[in-house]
Amino acid sequence: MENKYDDRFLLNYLDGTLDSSEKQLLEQELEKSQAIRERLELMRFTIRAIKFKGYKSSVNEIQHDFLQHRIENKSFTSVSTPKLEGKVRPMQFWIKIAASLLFLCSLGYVLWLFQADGEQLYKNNFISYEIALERGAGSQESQLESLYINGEFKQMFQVSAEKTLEEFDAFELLLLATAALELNDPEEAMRYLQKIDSDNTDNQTDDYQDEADFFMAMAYLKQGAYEQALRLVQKMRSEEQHKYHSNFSWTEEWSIRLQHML
Amino acid sequence: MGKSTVWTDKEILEAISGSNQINEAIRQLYEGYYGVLENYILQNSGNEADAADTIQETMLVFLNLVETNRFRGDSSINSVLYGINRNIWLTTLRKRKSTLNRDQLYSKQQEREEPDISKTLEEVEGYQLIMSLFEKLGKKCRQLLHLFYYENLSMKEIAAQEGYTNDQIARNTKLKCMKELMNQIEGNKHLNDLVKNALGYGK
Repeated sequence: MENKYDDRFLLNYLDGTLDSSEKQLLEQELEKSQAIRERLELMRFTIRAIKFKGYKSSVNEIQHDFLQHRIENKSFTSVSTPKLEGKVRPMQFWIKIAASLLFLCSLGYVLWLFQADGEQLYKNNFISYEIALERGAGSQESQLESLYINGEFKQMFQVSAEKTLEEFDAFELLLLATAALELNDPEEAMRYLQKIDSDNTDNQTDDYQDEADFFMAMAYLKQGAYEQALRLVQKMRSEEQHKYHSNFSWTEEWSIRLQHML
Repeated sequence: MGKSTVWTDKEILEAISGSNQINEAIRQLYEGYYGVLENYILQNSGNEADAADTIQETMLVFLNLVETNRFRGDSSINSVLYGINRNIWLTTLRKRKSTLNRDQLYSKQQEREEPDISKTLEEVEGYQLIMSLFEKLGKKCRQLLHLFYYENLSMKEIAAQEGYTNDQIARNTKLKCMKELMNQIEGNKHLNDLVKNALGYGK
């Protein structure tokens, strides 16, 4: 390296302490000498590294203060542990929301259970009896059956007025019972349905017993006889093979139970 | 410029370039941009500790960009910091060999890396190595060089503060310390190559 442009000279250049003529001479020399250029660049790089070390200390300290300040600001909230704050507060918030919704739903449900009286349950669950198609293939259609199919419910009672209950078979009793229900006469319906039930008990048969259970339950509901209705609904819901097993939900069962308790 | 006010980009750059109120300028950077930089890390597979490490490095790279006159305010500080932060975080993910994150992020963002940031990152690596050699200098040397180059104290002020007989003695000591440091750099082949490589990118 040229002696004139030694490290002292180069350092003075970088520190800005050379006078303008010295500075100009060096810059001219830098154009020509790669060795001086490289030495100067290495020196410049080293000075930057020293500055960088200063920056690093400052940044480190300022970041520490900044994060500490942020944590302290967070600690003014109700939760003392700042890191957990973001997680705990939303959880509490959502738990409260969920609890409120659960409470409102429960309240609404209980109100619904209480307001669902027998008449309401009857309307919601009554279905007209549909005569099975296959029945017509093997037996002659009776007069009562024809009238039932045509919706002539009143005429069904007119044509059977002279007969006693014992003179009807189970199917006819069922048709008369459902016709009575169609005419909003649950007491009359109960006469026929109870006859089916008692005949089955006496004869150890189950002719149209499932249908009898269902329409008796409907008749009891219509009359507000909740205890009897509940017994039948429980029976239907507990027997998976029962034709009307799925006609009452557990909420409806509870509704009947509540009406019975009132 | 009061501490409570929000500085403009120009004010921040002037404070850094002029080496006056550097700490206050860095504070302004933290208050103004930490949130958005942290949010980027958190939204891209990082946690709060990752964010703290990455942002610290981001700030250093930014300061170096300003220091080396590569950032003159053509873009906003916000966009430059964001770019640096993203670049460093992507590099971190790559180093962690987090294939999924790397593939997802790189495929979308690799083309957006700014070349100046890559240069600066390489320089920073060189600085780190020089800093390790700097630590091997005596305490007096470290303090003298720090006060002159970072704190911007004059030789007269340093002489008075550090107990040198006069500013010329302090100046001679500084030269001696610099030579010692540079000798160590030249004696470290890896560092020497790295510095030369970084300088090859230089202005």
